[in-house]
Amino acid sequence: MDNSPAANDDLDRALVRRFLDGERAAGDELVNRFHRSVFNVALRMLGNVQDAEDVTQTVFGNAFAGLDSYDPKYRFFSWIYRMTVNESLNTQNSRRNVVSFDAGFDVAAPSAMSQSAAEAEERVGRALLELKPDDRAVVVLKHFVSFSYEEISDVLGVPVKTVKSRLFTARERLRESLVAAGA
Amino acid sequence: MLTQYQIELINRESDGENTPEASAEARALIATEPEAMTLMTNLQSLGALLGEVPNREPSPKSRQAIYSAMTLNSRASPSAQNAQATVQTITRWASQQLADISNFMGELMLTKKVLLGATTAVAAIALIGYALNGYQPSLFDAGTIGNGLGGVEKAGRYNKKTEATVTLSSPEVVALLQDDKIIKLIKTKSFKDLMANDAFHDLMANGVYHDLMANDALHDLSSSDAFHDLMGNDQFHELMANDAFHDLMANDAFHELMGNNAFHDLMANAGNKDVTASPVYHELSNNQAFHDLMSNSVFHDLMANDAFHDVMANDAFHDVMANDAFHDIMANDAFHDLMANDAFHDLMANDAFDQLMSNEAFHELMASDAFLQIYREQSLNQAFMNEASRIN
Repeated sequence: MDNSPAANDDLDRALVRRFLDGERAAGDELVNRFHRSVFNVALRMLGNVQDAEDVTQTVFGNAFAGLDSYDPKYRFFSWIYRMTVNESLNTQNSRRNVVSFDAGFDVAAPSAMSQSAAEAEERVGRALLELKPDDRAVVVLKHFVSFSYEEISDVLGVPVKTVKSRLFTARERLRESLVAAGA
Repeated sequence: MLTQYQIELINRESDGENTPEASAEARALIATEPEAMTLMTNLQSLGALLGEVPNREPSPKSRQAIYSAMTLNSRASPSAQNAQATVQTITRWASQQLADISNFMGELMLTKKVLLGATTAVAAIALIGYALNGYQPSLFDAGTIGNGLGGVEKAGRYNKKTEATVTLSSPEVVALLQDDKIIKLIKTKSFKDLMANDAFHDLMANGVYHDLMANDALHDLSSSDAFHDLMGNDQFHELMANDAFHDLMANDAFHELMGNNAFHDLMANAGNKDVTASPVYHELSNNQAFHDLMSNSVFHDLMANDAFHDVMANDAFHDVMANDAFHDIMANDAFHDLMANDAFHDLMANDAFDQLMSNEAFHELMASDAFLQIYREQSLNQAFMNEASRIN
């Protein structure tokens, strides 16, 4: 069974329609489907749990506030992930205005997380923050949401060719950064 | 060495994006070419490391906050719903205005970029003018010109340099001052006129300006061909002298939107389709800055300006808009502060400055590595002035 976001887009459209028709449970289902993933995209974009939660709430708030004007000819997942990336970048820019740019990675590992997973998260998190935001977005969507080139193109609104170019370059930089850090 | 095609083939294989035929080709390449094997191994190792990073669970509080917001929306009162409908109507109208003008925001951004390049030019003028034309020391009484220029010491101290100090001068400085085009530039009337301009002097004393001068993206931008083409465009200069444009540059709603990625996405697609149907439009429809800008009379004045529309149709403009350095500059705080500076605006409207901006030698200077080094490093800066003293 194909569980890709594109394959489930009909379900998303149906949930949107039912929610607009007054079925509250359909809204809950949309949150259930995307909440964790949206939060993790924001977390990997920003390297900060609190900022990621703020972005997640803003994204869903804006999504539900504008749902009545959502055009079903567009993929719902593209819409919500694009908002997530954009809101993350807006948050990053606003943070630059109030704190030093080198605020850095700030994600404390939960006690339940294994030591190796916590170490991997910290190493990767720091390296991700060294990438340019556009490059970071492509890597995050590819490796943390498992989107195809075409799906990433849809989300970011750039050609597939650009997605590939950014991804190949970003991965090389990410690898160099990890090697330099002794990963 | 692997070709670009082979690199892409292996990356696609690693991502599972190859067709069966391409996959077979990739596997054959990896089996026979050590470099291809290394690349594939590196990609797989990186993928494995990224795969070790666990997905996190958002806090229950976050989920509850979302549910609460959703409830409020679904229970909105009739009056609240009417208010929301009014906002949507206004926003839809405003968005249509944007569709009509296509890349309005992009144009504004471009203008900023041009201003930025112009500022770089002023930095060069300041440095060379100070060294070769006996620029008035009183301008730099604080002791330095500023961080962006590498902390150029004031003229009084500079004049006390001995012959021994001169021998410390660097090859970069000598190369720059041996360039006939640079020497001719310094001797032009427009250059000398600019040296005597009050607005220029005010700008030189501004700390924000110097912060901007230290920015890498600024240098990248000002050395691009598209930027130079745009700087030589008459309509662009006309726009730069337009009051509505300057008012908009000082508008808070405009600045907020300039930092909003959804707005940039909308502008990038505005010329191709009905922007009101765009998913990004819906994201923006809740943004107060967007509403403020759409209802601003200055915005409408600019929309009616012919020079603005000419610039919008200019290829160089579009090239500049696609330049990464330009986008970096747009996110720079010092740049935004400079945009609100009166002296800077006065300088932009100065004829002598305009003439210099279309001078080829001036652009060559801006694009030279020697110049970049000189204006960033205090030791080179001093050496440059010493050499200039010898020429005089």
